[in-house]
Amino acid sequence: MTALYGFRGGIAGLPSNKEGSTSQPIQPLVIPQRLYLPIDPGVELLIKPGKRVLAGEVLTDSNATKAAVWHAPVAGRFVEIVDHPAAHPSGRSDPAMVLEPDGSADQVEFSETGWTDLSVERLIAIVESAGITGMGGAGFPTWLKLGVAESGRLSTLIINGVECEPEISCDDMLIREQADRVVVATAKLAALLQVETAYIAVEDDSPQAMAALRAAKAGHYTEGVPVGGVELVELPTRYPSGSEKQLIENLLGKQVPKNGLPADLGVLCLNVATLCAIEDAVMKGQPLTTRVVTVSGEAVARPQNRWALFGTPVADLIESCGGLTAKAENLVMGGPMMGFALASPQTPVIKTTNCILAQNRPPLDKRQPLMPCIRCGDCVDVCPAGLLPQQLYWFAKSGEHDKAQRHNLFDCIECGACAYVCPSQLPLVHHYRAAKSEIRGQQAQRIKADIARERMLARDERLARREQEAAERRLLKRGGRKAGTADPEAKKAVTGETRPAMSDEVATAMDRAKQLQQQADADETRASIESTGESVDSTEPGQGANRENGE
Amino acid sequence: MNSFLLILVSTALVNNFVLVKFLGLCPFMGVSKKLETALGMAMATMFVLTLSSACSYLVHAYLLQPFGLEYLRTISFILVIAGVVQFTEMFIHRTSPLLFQVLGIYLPLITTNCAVLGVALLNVKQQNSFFESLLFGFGASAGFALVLVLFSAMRERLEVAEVPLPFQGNAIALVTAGIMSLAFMGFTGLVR
Amino acid sequence: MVAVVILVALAMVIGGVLGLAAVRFRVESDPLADKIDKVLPQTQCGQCGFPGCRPYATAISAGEADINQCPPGGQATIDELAELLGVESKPLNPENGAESERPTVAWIDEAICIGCTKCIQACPVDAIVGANKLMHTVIADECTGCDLCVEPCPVDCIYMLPVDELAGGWQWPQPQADTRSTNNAAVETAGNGQ
Repeated sequence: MTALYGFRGGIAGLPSNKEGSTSQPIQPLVIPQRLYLPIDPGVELLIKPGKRVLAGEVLTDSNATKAAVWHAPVAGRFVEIVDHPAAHPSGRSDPAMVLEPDGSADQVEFSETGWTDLSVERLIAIVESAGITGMGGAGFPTWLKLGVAESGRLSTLIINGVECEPEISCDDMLIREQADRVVVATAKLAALLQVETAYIAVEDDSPQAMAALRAAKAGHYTEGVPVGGVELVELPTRYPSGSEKQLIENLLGKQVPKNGLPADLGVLCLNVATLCAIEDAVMKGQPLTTRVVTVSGEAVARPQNRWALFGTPVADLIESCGGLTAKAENLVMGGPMMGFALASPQTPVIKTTNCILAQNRPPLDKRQPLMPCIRCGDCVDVCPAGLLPQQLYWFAKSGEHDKAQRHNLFDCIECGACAYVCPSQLPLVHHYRAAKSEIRGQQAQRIKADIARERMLARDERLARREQEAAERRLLKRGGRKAGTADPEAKKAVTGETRPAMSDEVATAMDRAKQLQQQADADETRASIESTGESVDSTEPGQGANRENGE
Repeated sequence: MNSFLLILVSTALVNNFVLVKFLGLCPFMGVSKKLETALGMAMATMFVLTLSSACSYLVHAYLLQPFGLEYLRTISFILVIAGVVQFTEMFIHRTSPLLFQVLGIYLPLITTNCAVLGVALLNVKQQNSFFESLLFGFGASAGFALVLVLFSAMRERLEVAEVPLPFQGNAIALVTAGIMSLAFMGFTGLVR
Repeated sequence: MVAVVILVALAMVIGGVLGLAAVRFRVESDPLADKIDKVLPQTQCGQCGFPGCRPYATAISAGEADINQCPPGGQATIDELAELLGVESKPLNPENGAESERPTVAWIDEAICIGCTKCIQACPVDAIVGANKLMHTVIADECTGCDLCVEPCPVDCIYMLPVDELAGGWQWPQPQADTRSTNNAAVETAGNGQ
């Protein structure tokens, strides 16, 4: 049995409310009328609107933006691009591809690779082209995470099946139904990455998942698959034991350094659903197009887990689960602790949507009346990151950003444990999130201001240089003299009698022009004489007639 | 040795200049809004107090007393203190311009800090020797620094707390100072 | 008599020491203007009455200008300046302009632009690209929203548009203030959504 180190803080005995959603197997896919796939900024579309696409066809190219590519979940027609509510806490509408499924089962050809003779480099390429990002909630690009394996520093692989947040049970059900796949894939991946130890971790409030894993491990042992190296670990249920940093601390006794990553400790931590997606990509060549979503909450008729296509509007998903029993005060994407409220029920399911909750109560930050902090310190006891939530609350509330940063505001994992235990039910995480984004905004502003200052200084310098060059030029033109002291001789040299010799053609042309001018003048005066009847001295044609002396 | 320790403890805690003798309240209230400022001020005052305490003793013992000019002590102590403060100001301006800027007007105001003059005059009254004067000054400034730092830490917390409107600002600060003063009463009897 | 002599002697000695110290501890020119300039938003708009942020910073450090004359910086900048200078903060002077709700950037309607370069000459940070009789366009990332280019345009083809929120950095809204709280001027009531 693996010895556990435990982690500080946390809440034991959090009511999990998972009985409803785990009472039946994962329900099959329901294909909605329309799918809305978000277009990340900077991404290039590979398909034009109006074209028919096959299931699994790649739709976007991420260029260098680190965004995952999207594939068509089913065959259908790419209708258009519209502004659709985005799966983002701001509630704004962003451009999205609209796909209308046509009911056919046509799909692109998938190329199977298999685990034998697979190199890490090839694995990373497969994962990237399958568009796999972390499915536990953070959505970090998995191909970048696997990049640590190439450096040779990897020593531990942890498969995270610890679903500590209440209501969410999608990973739990996935393990129960696909334990075989999970164990084999972990073994294969561990062998490929050449790690010293591989763990699959689950919580002890789901004995069925553990039993399934044990059976799978025992079953495959005889088949010659190297599952012996995979350790199955059961963690005592304590929120937030499924958080990556806390999981690593619990299992290995090491803390991820501040501003660091698990890779710094030689650890690779993958969500169990992400692992299954990798397995699909390697074994069957399938891109990531579906996931299990838990639909739960007091206002849902039949809480359950269901496979869902990316791009399925949340409303359609809830409909397929029996719809809502009462008006949902709050529709949440994610769990009750770390999820965010949805602005519209049309928001689509995306790669990180692990749960949809329909709650009867308004969110924590909208409840009345808001009560003051009584300085009880309960929040400090439960913070898994070892911070001082009470102090952070005071600083965030009064806008004292530098003090908040000195109290390690950015190490907060936003787990919500502090808000859960607060007797005054303060929306603590809301305050921290607001403070964090305000600080980030100010930092961005400062950088922008510095750049603007540089540009302004450069511009001033350029203008000054131009001014100086112009002054020098003017000085040269005047033969080195100051303005206003023009030498008449020099002037004549430029304009008058002692003009340097011209070429003959130019001289002839100038004479001709002068004659024409004088002719025209003469005609004019004649015309005016005839019209007015006065006699005017006609100008004499010839050289020098029009030149005035003594300029 | 014992008597020196006694002087230190008594001036720093038992007869704390700010909370028991109620001297030096101007910088106490004025510079205690931020902890860093208070620390800087405390260090500056410690330097000034100790040095001027020593210098005042020397002036009194070797300049005033021999010529029977004890009645000039107040003005000559002020001269000495002003000189020491100016010196300190120049020193801080050179070594830490930020601290200089942050302390602002309160740095030259150490001249008018009644604790500084009080220490000098008390030395005369108690007929302290040179070393005793030095310790007296150091102890007094240590007590001042301690209280200033404690007070500013509390004021920083008060800044973000939800204080009722009539009490906000200096009012609650003075109430806090009063409670601190009560707390320091607990030191009575530590030294007879 | 003796008293006078003694006092004068004492004063002279102290004065001498101070004089020496003044020479020994001389400090170069005041970098306060630099510190103030770092706080200002570098919009270079001139709304404060000075031709740019640096002249305004110099004026503040010389005591010739007040700290509440910068609308683009807003109340946040005024508070920071107050803290830097150790003075009381005050509200923005309405004579200099109002704090804008959302940051804006300039945009040239290319259909109307005649390529006169007047706006290019007006921009304090060279955020407009173009040349005589050629199309002009604003580099949105470099534009500080100072609107100095709007006036010179002879065909009025420059508009000040609000910055795209997500690209500019969407921020989580502040939660509602405690109903009994009294000194939370910085906290605003939550908007829509979260």
